[in-house]
Amino acid sequence: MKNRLRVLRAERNWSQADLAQKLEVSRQSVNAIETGKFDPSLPLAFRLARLFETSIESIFSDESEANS
Amino acid sequence: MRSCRMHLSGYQRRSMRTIEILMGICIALSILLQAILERHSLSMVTRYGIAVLSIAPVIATITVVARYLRGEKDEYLRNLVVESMLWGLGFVLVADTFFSYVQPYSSLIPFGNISLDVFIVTASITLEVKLWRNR
Repeated sequence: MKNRLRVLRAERNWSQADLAQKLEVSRQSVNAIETGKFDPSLPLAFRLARLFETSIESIFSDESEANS
Repeated sequence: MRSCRMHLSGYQRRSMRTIEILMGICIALSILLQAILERHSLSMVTRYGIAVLSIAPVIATITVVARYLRGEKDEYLRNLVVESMLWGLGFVLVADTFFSYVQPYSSLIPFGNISLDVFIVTASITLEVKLWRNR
């Protein structure tokens, strides 16, 4: 799963720790999601979408779909 | 690696501290009970009593870990803890199989007596490494 989390975060000048605090998760979680090591659950994806005031699809994209 | 722990919440740190205390109790109990079994000729009922006493920290650890996993809101950390425990369990299974063939010919402490400690140490090291790799 690819995501634009790092870009969206950078646009707002938020550090990983800032985003982690807003999401009430650990900084490691944010790092793992950003680097694609961990795919968040739907509730967390919705929280991210709400936080960035966008849709889930505009944050996450399926890699296989992107390649085809 | 200590810096990884600084990012953990109070709840996570408290749970880890409880598990560490249980591990200490388990080691102390294991040494004490082993010494009693070696030095005294005990009745079967007492031996059963000692066996029940020896599993108390194991059950307590399972309860603490289950409670932690139920209360952990961070799904990534929950995932890491479960993965680490699987590593710990796998290592105990491998070591137990190995020592079951070696034990009868050596004077080593029975592996079953320290399996909980080995499990907790392996799971803790795995968790620390995973947190460190994703620091």
